[in-house]
Amino acid sequence: MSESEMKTGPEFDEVLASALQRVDAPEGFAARVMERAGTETRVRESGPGAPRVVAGTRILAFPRRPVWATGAIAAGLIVGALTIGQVHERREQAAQVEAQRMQADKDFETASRIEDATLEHTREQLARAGVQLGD
Amino acid sequence: MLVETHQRMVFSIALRVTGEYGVAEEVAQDVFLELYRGADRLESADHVKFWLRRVTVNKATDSLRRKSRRPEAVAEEWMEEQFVPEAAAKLDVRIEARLEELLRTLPESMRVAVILRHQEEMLPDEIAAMLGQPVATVKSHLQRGLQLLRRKAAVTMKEYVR
Repeated sequence: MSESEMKTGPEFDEVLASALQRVDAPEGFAARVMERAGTETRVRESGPGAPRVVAGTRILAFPRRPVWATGAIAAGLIVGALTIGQVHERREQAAQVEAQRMQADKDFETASRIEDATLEHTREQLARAGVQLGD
Repeated sequence: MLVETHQRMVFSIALRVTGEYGVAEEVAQDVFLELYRGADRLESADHVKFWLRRVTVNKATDSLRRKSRRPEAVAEEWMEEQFVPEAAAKLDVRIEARLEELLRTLPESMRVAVILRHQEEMLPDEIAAMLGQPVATVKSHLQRGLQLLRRKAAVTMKEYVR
C-alpha cells in the first residue's frame, strides 16, 4: 500500500460512512407510488380483454370479464336458480291443495249420501212403528 | 404505511446503485408496486425489510444492465477528466459527493457490496444471504471495492482526504 493510500485510512472510513448516509426520497414519492398502485388496480379490475401486465412484462391471458359483470352473472344465476325452484315448489303446492280440495268435496258428497240414506232408513223404521214425522 | 417507513432505504439503495436520480425513483416505485402486489406473502417487519433490499438491488442492477452503461469506462473518462489542469480548479466539490461519484465507478458487484455494508450497515453474512452468494465472495467484493475506492480517492482527492 502506498503512502498516499495509508494516509487515507481512518479518515477515509469516516468520509465513506458520511457519504453513504441514506438520502430522502423525492418530494411526493409515496403519493406517486399510491397513484400508480391505484391505477394498476383499476386497470386490473376494469380491463376486459386487455392483456395483464405483471412486473413490467406483458403476459397473454384470456379476455378478462370485469369484476362487476362476474358478480352480476353470479347474482343472476343465484336468483334464477331460486326463482325456478320457487315456481316449481309453488306449482307442487297448488296441485296438492287442489287434490286435497277435490278429495274433500268427494268426502263431503259421500258423507252427505250416507247421511241421507241413514235418515231415510230411520224414517222408514219409525213409519213402520207408526210414528209419522213431518217434512 | 410501508412506503413511508421504507422509502428512504429503498430510494437510497436505488440511487447509489443506479447513480441517477430519475432512474432511482422509477426503480423505487417499481419495488413498492411489487410489494403492493405480493405484500400478503411477507410475514414480518424483518421479512419486509429483507425483501425490499433484495428486490431493490435486483431491480437497480437490472436497470443498469438495460442501459448497458459500463461503470469502468465511465470511471476512466472521469479520472482522465480530473487530471487535466483546468479541472483541478473544480476540486472544491464536497468530498462526500466526490466519493459518491467514485462509488458509481466501481464494478456492479463491488458497488452493491459496499453500499449494503456501509450504507445499510449489513454484515457480510447478511449480504451473502440476501444476494445468494458465498460469504467469501461478498468479503472479496467488499475488500476489493474498498481498496479500489481508496486508491481512486488517494489519487484524486489527496488534498482533502488525509
